[in-house]
Amino acid sequence: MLQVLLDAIVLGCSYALMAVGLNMVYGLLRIIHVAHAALYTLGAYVGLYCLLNLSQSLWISLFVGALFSAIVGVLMYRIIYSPALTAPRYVPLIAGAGVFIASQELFRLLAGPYPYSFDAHFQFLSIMTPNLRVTETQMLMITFMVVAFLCLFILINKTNLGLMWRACTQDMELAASSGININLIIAINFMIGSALAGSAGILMALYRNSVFPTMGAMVSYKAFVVIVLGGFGSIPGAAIAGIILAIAESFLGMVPIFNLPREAIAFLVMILVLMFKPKGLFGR
Amino acid sequence: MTFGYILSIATFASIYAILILGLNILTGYTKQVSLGHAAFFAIGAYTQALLITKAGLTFWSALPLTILLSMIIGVVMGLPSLRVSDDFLVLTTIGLNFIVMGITEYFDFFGGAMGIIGITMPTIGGKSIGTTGYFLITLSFLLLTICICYLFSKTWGRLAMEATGEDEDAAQSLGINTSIYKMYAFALSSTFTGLAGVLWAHSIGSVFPRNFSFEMSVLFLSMLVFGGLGTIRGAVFGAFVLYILPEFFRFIENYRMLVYGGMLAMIVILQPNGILGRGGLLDRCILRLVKKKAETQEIS
Amino acid sequence: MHLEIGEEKSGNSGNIVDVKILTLKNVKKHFEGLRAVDGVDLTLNKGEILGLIGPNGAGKTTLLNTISGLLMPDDGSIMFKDRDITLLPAFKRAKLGIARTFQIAKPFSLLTAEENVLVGMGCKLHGNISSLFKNCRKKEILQKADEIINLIGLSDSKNQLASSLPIGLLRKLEIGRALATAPSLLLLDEPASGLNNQERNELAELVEKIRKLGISIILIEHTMSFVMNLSDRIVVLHRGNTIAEGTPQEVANDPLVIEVYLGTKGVKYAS
Ligand SMILES: Nc1ncnc2c1ncn2[C@@H]1O[C@H](COP(=O)(O)OP(=O)(O)OP(=O)(O)O)[C@@H](O)[C@H]1O
Ligand SMILES: [Mg+2]
Repeated sequence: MLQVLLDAIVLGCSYALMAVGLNMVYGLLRIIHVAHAALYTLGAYVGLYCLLNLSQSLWISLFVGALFSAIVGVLMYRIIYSPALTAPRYVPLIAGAGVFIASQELFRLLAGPYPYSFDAHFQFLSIMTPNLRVTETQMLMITFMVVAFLCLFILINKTNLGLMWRACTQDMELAASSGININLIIAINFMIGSALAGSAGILMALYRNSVFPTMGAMVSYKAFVVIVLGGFGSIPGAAIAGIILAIAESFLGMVPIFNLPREAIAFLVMILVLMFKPKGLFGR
Repeated sequence: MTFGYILSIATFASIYAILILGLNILTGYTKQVSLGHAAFFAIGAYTQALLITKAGLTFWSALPLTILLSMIIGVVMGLPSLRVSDDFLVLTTIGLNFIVMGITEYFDFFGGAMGIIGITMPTIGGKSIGTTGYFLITLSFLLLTICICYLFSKTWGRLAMEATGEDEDAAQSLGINTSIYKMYAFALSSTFTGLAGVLWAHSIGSVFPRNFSFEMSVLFLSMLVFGGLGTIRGAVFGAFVLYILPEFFRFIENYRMLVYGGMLAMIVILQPNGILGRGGLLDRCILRLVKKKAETQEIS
Repeated sequence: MHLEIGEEKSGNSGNIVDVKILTLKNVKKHFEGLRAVDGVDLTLNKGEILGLIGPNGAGKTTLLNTISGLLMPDDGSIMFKDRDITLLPAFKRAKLGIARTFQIAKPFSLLTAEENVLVGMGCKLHGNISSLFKNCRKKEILQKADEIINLIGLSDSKNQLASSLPIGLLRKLEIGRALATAPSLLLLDEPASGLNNQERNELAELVEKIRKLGISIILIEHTMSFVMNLSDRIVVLHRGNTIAEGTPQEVANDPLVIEVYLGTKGVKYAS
């Protein structure tokens, strides 16, 4: 039981890391950033490339993967979202979906349809007792998520940059007129969110020991569900809801009548929540 | 390229055109973006498949039942749109796509992952009609759909739907009950999409869950956006071009989703009204030509 | 011109009749502690033009929204032609004869100017399932639409998409669309904002014409000359309350109004 719970929490970390980026974009631009999933996969592939060709160190590949995702994330904003900001709301959404689909194909064409394994050797804490096993990878994921969220929390609530970011989420025009460089804030916003997505991709690749073109799809669908559950634009909500969703899935999956695919269950929950609370479970 | 091959391409292109005309009512008129239209397609195809293989009905006797059921389920699936709109509605439609796919995949009643096979071609007077006959049936249904859509585009209902899609407050202030029109749009849209599903099921002869994936939904939306939201010509054009081009240029086949995805993003950003839409590429070219002509006349 | 707009055409058109068409009692609308409209009483006589003025954020638009039904009041009651409409949704109020325009123009940009007007003309039919079958492009319907288009002076661009019209024409189009619903009460929210002098004069003429059709009007406007010349009576709103009411003359000389306006102007100039 404890083991199932632990595995679920690890899975939930990846949902949460993805959902946080989505929610940061939503909070700032009111866009559902469907193409976010591409950055998750990109991170994993770049990380893998790094591991195979540049260095054996997981840390370096994690860094390079996240960096690449961050850069591409900002480019995505510049190329597909920023021209569409004044357009009707379906425009950025459809554009994002297009990029998402195209990116999956691109990965398939460049790297082939088959999964690669992701073997990295690294030293980290682990717990090995008869009734609970926390592998090094699991420990790393949980630590990464906790540290990432703590940093994010401090960044948003205790720094000047965070203050400006919060001002932008309140009222972009007002923020711009009071001298905040909103383009910079949006770029940083995409950078952080994308870097988190990229790292989530690498960590999941490590955990599952595989990298494949459509690996971003499932987790990003889950991330949509998570932002509905956690409340649109709420960052702590995303973290909590990500873990709750993973736990719920794991335990519901053990009940025979719920032997629907996991994503169908997740979406069913999402639609029910939206019907009764259109702004999300913890939404304002 | 054999005659049979061309015939089958034409049949499928016509089926997709019917589907996109259905999507156009929902996404083109009331601007309720559906990224889950494969679900509506699946409902038509699966209902027909079950009625044929399990209940032993024929094409013609099952058709009205399927269409009616498609309409009803379409309205039920549209209910969330009364509560949520815009982006959240899109998430909901994506969700519906996965739920419908999940249900067909995981319940034996729907054939599970193995799908349903043995959906026979329709017969007329006891004789099977063959691929040519089936193409003619499909084509007539397409023409019928175009006629209905054309007539519908002249009604008060279409105006009210477009008003609802553009600005709900303004629409309400002109006496439009926006909720009702959203439901009407779901009903009409799922009817045509269900019809397309029926025609598709018979021409393939089988249905599998993976035929109705999220990627298909993206493809459908690409077709509509490419052709031009909110116009009949755009819907038909988009379906034909995007379906036929990769068939003729086989080398595209491998990059199909890459091309679709990339194009969807580009078109919607650069040309939100598509190639043939109102104020779209063609409209603007014509406008520019007319202006040029006027100028040259003035000079001479 | 033989327009049939407005249900009851008064014989001596343009004269105010002492029949109350709209009565607001203690209407309140709060946004999470912000008292946007805080207990407003208001009456409107048939055929009257009522000017509604007040500094930015006074609650004018919010008050209009509660009348047209886009916002439900938190408290108070709204009577329209002896009928309590406090709880009616917006589209039903439109069918009863309340039409409006928007402070930020909201045209249906993918429809032509003519179709925009047609949407208004369908007011009574909208929602009915038969609207899905009935043709809206019959000759007599288009003729009627043409009359309205002529009245608002848009005949040259009636086949253009609304998205391609300049703001001056959009304002007129919004009024035309509202008129097409055959209203007896028309709510205009800053119809002259964004217009130049000439366009403003044309608009003033249009408003006069509409009044002659027997339609009562509530007019929100910041341009003082415009609203003072047109209105029969003026109500001044400040922080959600009416602070003055009377003829344009009386209101212009009211010390409280002057203070509110000069006060805000003073702030504006200082910043
Ligand atoms: N939907 C809303 N939610 C929260 N606050 C609102 C909302 N609508 C209006 N307000 C607030 O209510 C107050 C009154 O707004 P309103 O738009 O009615 O003013 P107004 O008199 O029309 O001003 P203006 O002349 O600028 O149009 C303002 O402080 C505004 O910020
Ligand atoms: Mg206002």
